Amino acid sequence: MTSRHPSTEEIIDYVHHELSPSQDAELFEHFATCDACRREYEGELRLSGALRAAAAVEQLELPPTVKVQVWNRVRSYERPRWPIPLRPLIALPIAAAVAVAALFAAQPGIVTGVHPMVGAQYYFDLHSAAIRQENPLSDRSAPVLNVIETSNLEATDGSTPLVDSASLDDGPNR
Amino acid sequence: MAAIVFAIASLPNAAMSAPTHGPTPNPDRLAQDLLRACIDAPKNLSYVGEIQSTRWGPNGAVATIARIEHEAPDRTRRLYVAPDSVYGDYVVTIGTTSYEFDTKRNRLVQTQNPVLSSQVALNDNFALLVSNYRPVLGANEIVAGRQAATISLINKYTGFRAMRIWIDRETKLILAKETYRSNGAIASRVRFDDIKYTNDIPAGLFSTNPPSGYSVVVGYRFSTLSTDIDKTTHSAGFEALGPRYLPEGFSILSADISNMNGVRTLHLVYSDGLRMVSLFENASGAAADFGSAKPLQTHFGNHDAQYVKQGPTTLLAWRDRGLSLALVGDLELKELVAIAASVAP
Repeated sequence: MTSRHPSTEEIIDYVHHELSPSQDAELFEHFATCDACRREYEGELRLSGALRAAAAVEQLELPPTVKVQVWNRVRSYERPRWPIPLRPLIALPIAAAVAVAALFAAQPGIVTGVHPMVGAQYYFDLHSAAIRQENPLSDRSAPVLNVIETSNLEATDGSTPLVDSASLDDGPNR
Repeated sequence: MAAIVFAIASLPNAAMSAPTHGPTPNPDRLAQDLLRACIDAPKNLSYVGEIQSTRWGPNGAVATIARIEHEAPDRTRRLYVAPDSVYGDYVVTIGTTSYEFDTKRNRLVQTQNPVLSSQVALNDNFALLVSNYRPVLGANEIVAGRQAATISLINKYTGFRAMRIWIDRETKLILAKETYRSNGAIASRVRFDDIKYTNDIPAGLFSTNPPSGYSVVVGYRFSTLSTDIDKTTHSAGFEALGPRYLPEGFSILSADISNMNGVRTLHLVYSDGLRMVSLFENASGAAADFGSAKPLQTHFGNHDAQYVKQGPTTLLAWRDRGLSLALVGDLELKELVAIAASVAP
C-alpha cells in the first residue's frame, strides 16, 4: 500500500470510517509515511469537522438572491469563440500538458508546484530511535514508537495530540 | 533465579554497605560501578509489576499506568490500564521488534526498532556518560516495597542534576528514574508501583499472533546508526553542515541516511552520554511539516526559525545555504538556538 496513494474518495471514506478493516489499516500505514496524503487527510478531517460544527448550529440554505445570480450566470454562459476546426490545436497541447503534470504528480516523493515536506513527528521518532540505540540508560525493552499512545492518548489540555502525547517515556530505563 | 540475582548483586554491593576492612572505597567509583551494573540487569532478570510513567511538557503532564511482564533476556509485554483511552491496549517487544495491539481499532502494528549498540559502543557511551556526569550516591529509599539505592547524575560543567535513579539494592534493576531540566524542574518520571521477580511467566503472554479480526500493519523499520561519520556524511549527496558550538561535554556519536517521501535526509547524533541532540539535513527543500500543531517563531542570525515542543523535547527547524535543517533535543530552547546559530559547512 505504501507505494499507492489513496484517492480523495478513499480518504473521505477513511475519515468517516467507511472502509473495510484491511483498507483502513492500509491507509493508516500509508499516512505514517506519506506527508502529502496525511496533509490531505488532515484537511478532510478539518473540513468534515467544520461542516459538522456548522450543521449543528443551523441548516444552511443559500439565500434566494444568490440562487438567481447563479442561474443568470449559467444562462449567459458564453460558448468558446474558437472555430471548430481549431479546437483540437488548442485542446490537444493543453491535454498533453495536463497528462504530463498528472504523471509527475503520481510519482512518490515528487510534488509539483511546491517542495515536498517531512513530518515533524518523523524527526521526533528518529531522535527517539537514536536515544534507544545510543543512551546506555535507555530502556531497550521499550518500543521506539508507541503507536497506541500516539493515536489514542489525548492531551490533557486539549492541545494537539500528535505532538504532546507521542513517544511517552515508557520504561524505567529510558 | 537466586543464583542470577546473587551474581548481579555481588559486584557493587560495597556501594551500599560500609566495608569492615581495608581502605574506604571511593564513593564516586562505587556509584559508577553500581550504575554500570544496572545497565545490564534487565538482560538477566525476569519480573512482573506495574509501572507508572509521567512526562511534563509546556502544556501540562501526561501519565500512563501499565502492567509489565519481562522475561530475560529480551521479551517484554506492557498492558495499559490507564488512562481510559489506552485501557486494554498492549505492546509486546521481542528483541528489536515491537508488536502493538490496538484493541480499539482491531489493529496490530509491527515496528522494527534499531539494532542495539554493540558492547564496545555501549562501553564507549558509558565512558562518555561518566566523563561528563558525576554519579553521586544518595540515601537509600523504598520503592515498590524494595530497598533502593539512589544515584544522582550531576553535570560536571554546570553542576545541575540531570537525572536521579533508584536502583534495587539486591538485583540492580532500575526501579525509578527522574529527569530534570537545567532549571531543576522535573521533566519526566518512570516508577515501579509494584514489582515481583519471577521466572513463572506464561509464554502465551508474549504471543504475537493477531487475534481474529485484527488487521496487521507493518510500521516503521528504523535503521541502525553508523559510527563511521565521514563515510555517512559523504554519501549524503550534498555538502553537509555541522555545528561549530556544542554544550560542554557533547561530541558527535553517529550518523545515518534515511529516505522519507523521496527526501534524502542526513541524521547526525551528538551526545554528552546522557542528553542527546539530533541534527537533520536535506537538500530537497523539504521543510518540517508541523501538521496541525502550531509551531512558534524564533529568530537567530539572519534566520527565521520555527519550533514545537513534545514533552521535554524540542524541535527547531530553519533553512540555511539551501538546506532544510531541524534540530531535536531535550535541551532548553536557548541552547538549541545557540547550536543552530553555529551550524556551518
